Amino acid sequence: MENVLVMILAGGSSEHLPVLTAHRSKAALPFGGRFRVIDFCLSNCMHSQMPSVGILAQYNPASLILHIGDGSQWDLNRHSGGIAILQPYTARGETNWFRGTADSLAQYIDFIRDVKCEHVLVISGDQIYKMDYRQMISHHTVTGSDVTIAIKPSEDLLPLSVGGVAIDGEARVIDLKEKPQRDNFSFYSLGIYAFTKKVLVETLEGLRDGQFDIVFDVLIPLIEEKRVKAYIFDSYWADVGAVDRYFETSMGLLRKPPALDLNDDDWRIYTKPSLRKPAFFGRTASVENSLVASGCTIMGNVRHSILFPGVKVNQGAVVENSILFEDVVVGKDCVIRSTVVDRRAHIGNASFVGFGNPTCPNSHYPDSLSSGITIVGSDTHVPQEIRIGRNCLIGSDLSTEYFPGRDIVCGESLVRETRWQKISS
Amino acid sequence: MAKNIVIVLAGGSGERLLALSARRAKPAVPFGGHYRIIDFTLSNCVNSGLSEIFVLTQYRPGSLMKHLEFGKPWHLGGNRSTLLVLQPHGASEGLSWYKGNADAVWQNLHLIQERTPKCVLILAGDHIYKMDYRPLIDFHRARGSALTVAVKRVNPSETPMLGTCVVDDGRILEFEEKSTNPKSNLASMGIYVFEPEALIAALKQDAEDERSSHDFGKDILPRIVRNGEAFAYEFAGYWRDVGTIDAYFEANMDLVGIKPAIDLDDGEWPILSRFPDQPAAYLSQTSSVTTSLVCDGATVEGKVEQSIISPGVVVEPGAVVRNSIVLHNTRIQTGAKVNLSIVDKNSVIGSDSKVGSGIDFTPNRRYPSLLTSGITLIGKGSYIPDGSTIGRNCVVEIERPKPGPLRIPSGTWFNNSQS
Repeated sequence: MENVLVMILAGGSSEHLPVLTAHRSKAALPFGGRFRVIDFCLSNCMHSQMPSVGILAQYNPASLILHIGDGSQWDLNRHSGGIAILQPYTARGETNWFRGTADSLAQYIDFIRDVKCEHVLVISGDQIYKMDYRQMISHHTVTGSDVTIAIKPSEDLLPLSVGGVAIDGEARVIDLKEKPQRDNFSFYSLGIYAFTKKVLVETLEGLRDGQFDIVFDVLIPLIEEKRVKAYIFDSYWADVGAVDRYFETSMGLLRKPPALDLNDDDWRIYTKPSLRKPAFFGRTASVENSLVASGCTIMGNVRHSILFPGVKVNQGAVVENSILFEDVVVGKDCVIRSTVVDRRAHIGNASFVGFGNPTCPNSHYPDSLSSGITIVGSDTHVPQEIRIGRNCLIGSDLSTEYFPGRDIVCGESLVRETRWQKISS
Repeated sequence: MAKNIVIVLAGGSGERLLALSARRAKPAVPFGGHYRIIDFTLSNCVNSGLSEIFVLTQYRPGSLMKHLEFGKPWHLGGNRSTLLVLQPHGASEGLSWYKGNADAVWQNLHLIQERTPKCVLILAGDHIYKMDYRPLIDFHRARGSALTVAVKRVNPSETPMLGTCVVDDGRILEFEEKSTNPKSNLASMGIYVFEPEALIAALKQDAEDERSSHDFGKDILPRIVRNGEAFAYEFAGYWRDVGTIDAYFEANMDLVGIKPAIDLDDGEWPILSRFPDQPAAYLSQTSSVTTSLVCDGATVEGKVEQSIISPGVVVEPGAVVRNSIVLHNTRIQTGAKVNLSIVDKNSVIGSDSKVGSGIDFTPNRRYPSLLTSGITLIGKGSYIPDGSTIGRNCVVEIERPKPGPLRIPSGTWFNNSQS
């Protein structure tokens, strides 16, 4: 498919993923034991033989840039096309941050113009799915559409973050609404849009001041003016833009059979290799229904959990229904339940994390942290022998001295406010 | 300044590794879960700051070439460093298949002549160790030596497999190759630092000697030792020659433990490899894994004890793997029991089969000196039918079995993959 340019929207942080996106963009969020969320759409690009990929990144991109490297993991280190990470820049005249999805595309309109292609596929970098984009582009071409929107029947609960879509008998999109009441629409948008390049460029050129959003300012007006069709995609698709959805989507990998097969030889998900030794399981190890990545050392008990590379679980510890990112250390005799622990955090010996009443939502983020999941930020050292409740938010880079010397009760937050990391209550 | 160059001898067929090296060069034999034997030597080179590396191959180089990727896993390649895999090419008069490892270097002499290095390191590609070559090179230069041989004190039981040196104040007085009753327990580690002129002169003499076997240990070393120009540098760390099935098995198992013989994730001295890019290992509700290494891409639903599980291996529910090494993408089916065995890549052990079974430790009849300790070897791509029983000290290579279970008693060499 030499005539397609893929633009990945990977700019955002998320207020619905507090602490976990403090130091990285949503697209760089670790997922499934070995991956980052963006690996899914990059692997889709690779399998779909997309020659040119632009990644629009703004929020704290270092983690994303390091992960992507030269794109060789996805065969995107090419002489022509290949991968480009596109960030906000200063220029003569007006200079702005990316003020929205459409604005980020508009700021790179010259890039889009310069790539030899007929179609531009605009996708999100923070979704988990396997899709052959060639089929969608063929559909777009065959139907002679100006814009094609990938949609999915909304029999399941409509995710809050996506748009509802109404179509007519010819699959023409007649209505698109962000965050609708779920009963009003029988389809929802997957945030995957195929544009005929000419239509996209003209629309971006025509954006007026204050028009920054791809749904409100590009797609909704185009429904009236152009031929906007729907492409029904009925396979697995998940948005991981909030704590609950991230957690559920992750745990779906442990179902039997898994919600999404990561060992699918026909559609492998590629990622940066982990330069680690094989995982070591000691004499006292006991592991059930879990993903354990290379470099882990397991001496304790792990159940229904996902362990990223280099995690150490010491003797007597119990890790249950939890997700531990790279190089987390769980001290002796700890019990950790329903918790996401970010990179390099240490849990002191004999501490309990994720205990108590899950009906008490988090004080700072009652909407995002209410189902009982506790989050511990990266590089934080939880002291020995304390209890941390459920729906708690423990920030990044906290030393043991920062803890109050008592238990952290359900719904409590312990976050150091810095210039870069403001907590909005 | 001209760089020191490294020549890695990777041409050997490693016949004593039997089926493991039947279809790959010995340095390319998988090791420690997701490594290959040559990773240790190459990682030592780059960790020692050596960046001009030539790997001389001859026997079945495919696996090795694919693995080395022109040096990318070791951060070699590009404008300032080199990793080249060189096959015999016979391009000009007098060139042929290599008659020995010294002949291999002789036929590639231009590598040295074109570069004017201060030292040439000649390294075996089939040893497991971590070593900083810089103090060795410093010692070599300080002593003004023509040849410096790295040596290690070994148990007397190991000396018959190795070359040994009688040393006085660093100078090698005598070198004995694979002697049953050696005068010294200082074994050559197959690590040589040469003055380029001395190397070229010795290779030239050797090439002209029709009786020579063209081997560094047998021919080149004794010649330089006789001239009194060779020195020994003693190394005290962990080092294993993995030339036999027993040594290969033990060296693998030395990595399984809370304090392994070699720390593979040592930040100061990483062992680099072409690492797997597979999902994390999945361990099911029914799994039990203790004292074992498990690689990415593995699926374990059965029981694993004291074993190494390579990438992509599947251990089905009810299967038991004990004290064994299971290589890439092999499937151990429901109820199968694998004990004290090495199962090579892409094999299937059928349901309820037993591999490495019984109390009969009859040595292998075809290789009585090589397979005696009870280890059974299943060759690459084998298919062991459901309900089979395979004894100990066996070598079994079956790609297309006849229907029905097999009964293979201890000490059997069984191969129908050519049929």
